[in-house]
Amino acid sequence: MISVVNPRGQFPAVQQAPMATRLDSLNKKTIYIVDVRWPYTHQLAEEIRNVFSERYPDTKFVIREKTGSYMEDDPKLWAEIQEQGNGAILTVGH
Amino acid sequence: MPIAPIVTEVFAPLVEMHAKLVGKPHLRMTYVPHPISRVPAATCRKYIEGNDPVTGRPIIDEIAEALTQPLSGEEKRTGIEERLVPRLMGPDTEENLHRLFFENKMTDFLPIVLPTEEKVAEMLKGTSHPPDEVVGELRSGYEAGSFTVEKVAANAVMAGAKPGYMPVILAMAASGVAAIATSTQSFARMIVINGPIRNEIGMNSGIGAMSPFNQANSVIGRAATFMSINLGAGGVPGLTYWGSQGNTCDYNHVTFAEREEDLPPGWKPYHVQKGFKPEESAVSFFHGYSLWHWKNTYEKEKHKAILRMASWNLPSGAYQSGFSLLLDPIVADDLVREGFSSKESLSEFIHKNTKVTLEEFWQYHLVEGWTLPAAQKGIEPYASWMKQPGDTLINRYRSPDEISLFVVGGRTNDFWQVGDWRPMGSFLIDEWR
Repeated sequence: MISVVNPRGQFPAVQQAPMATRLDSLNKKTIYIVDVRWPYTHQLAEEIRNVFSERYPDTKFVIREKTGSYMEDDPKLWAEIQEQGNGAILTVGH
Repeated sequence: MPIAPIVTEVFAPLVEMHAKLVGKPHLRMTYVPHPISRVPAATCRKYIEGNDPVTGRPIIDEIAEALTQPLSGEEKRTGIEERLVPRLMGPDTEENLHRLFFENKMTDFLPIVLPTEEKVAEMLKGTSHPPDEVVGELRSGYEAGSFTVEKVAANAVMAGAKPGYMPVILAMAASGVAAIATSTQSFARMIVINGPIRNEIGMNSGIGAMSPFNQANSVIGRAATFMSINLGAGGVPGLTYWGSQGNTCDYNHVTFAEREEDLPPGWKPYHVQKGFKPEESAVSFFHGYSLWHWKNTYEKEKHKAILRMASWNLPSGAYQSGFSLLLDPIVADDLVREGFSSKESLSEFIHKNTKVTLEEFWQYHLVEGWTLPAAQKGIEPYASWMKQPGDTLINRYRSPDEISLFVVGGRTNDFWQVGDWRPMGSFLIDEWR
C-alpha cells in the first residue's frame, strides 16, 4: 500500500448566492432579450421576441445586442436593463 | 433582477458545472437544439415553440417560469462551500491508484509515474524553492487553481521528468499560461526553450527535435498537459474542454529547444530577441492551431516560398493569430545568402509584403466573430477600416513582432515548417533553479 501526492490544485471556496426574486407575472412588464453576439445567432433573439410578443401581448419585449464580442462585458447595458427593465432573457451561442 | 438564460443543449454539462462554481446551482436554464448559428429564423421559431431537448418541457413555459415562478428554499440558499484538496491520495495499491488517476481524468491516458512522496521529494531537489511555496494560479478550465512547488513536482513526476527539468516546468507553471484551453476551436500551444538549460538537461534541438526521441522534449510538454488538467482544472472533454476536433499538438504542445549553436551570424536566439540575456534561460508560449511545411510551394528562393506561405494565413488583425517559421539551419543559411542578415529583417520583409484587401479581411470567420464587434465598438484601427473601400490594402500581420522565427533541426535537409503561432509571452526559467 502506498500514498501519493495529490497533483490537483486548490480551488477557491464557493459562495452560495441567492437568486433574484422572481416577478409575479409578465403582464405589464418590460423584458429585455439580450443577444450576446455569438456570430449569426441574432435570429434566435428575434424569434423569441416574436413568439413571446404573440403569447404575452401585455408585455414589452426589447431586443438589445451586447456591445463587443461575445466574451466582453457590457456594464452599460446591464445598468440600462436594471433601470428600465423588469427581467431579461439572455441568449448564448453557438 | 430575474434572468432566463438560454444555451444550446450540447453545453448542458458545462452550464451545470459552472452554475455550481458561481454559487447558483439551481440556475433556471433553458436549452435549445444545437447549433443555432446560421440556422434560419423559421427553424429558430420551431425550436422556441418546441420542447427543451434536455428537460423535454415546452421552451416557452420554461422561459416564462424562469422569470416568474417563486424561488424555492434551495434557490435562496446562502453560505460557503469549501473545497479542500487533501495533500495525499491513498493509501492504496499501485494498481488502484493508477486506476484512480485514469478514472478521475488526471492524465493523458498514457502510463504515468505515480507521484509518491519519495519521488516527489527527489523531484524537489531540482529547485531551491521550498515545497510549500505558492507558485501562482493556472486556469485551464473555468476557474483558476492555486498551487505550490510540491504540486508542480507531483505533476512533473507523473510526466516522467528528471529533477533537472523542474526549473523549466516551474517557470511554465508560474507563467499562468495553460497549455490546454476550453475553447470549441481546438487551438493549441507551442512551447520553445532557449538558453543554457537546453543543453544542461539534454534537450534535442537537432535531428528529430520535434519528434518523440528525447526525454526532456517529450516530458516537459507532457508536464504542461498535466498541469493544465490538475492545477488548472481543464482537459475533460464535454466539461472543461470543448475543442470540437481536438488537436494532436496537445500531446506535448510542440515543445522543442531552439538550435542556438547553429544560428547564422547576426541571428539572435528567440529569447534574446525578447530582451533576455544569452546566458539566461527562458520558456516561450505560443498560441495557434497547426504546422504545415514547404512542399506546397514551388519557388526556388526560400524567402519567396515563405512569403507565399505567410500569405495564406489568417490576418492577425483577427483574434489571436500570428505566424511562426521553424527553419532548419540549412534554410537559415540560405536566407542569409538571400539577404536576410537577421531574423528581424525577415519578419519585417514578411510584414511589409503580405497585404490583404479589406474586402477579404472582413470575410474571415474569426474576423466576423471578434474583430467586427471591436470595430463596431469604435476600437481602432478596425473602426476606421470599416469606413474605407473594400479594395484598400492592409498589412496581413499587425506587426513584425507577430512573425516569429526559430532555427531547429539537424541539417539533413533544407526543410522548414510554418504555423499560425502567435507569441503569448516569454518567461525566465533561472529564477526557478
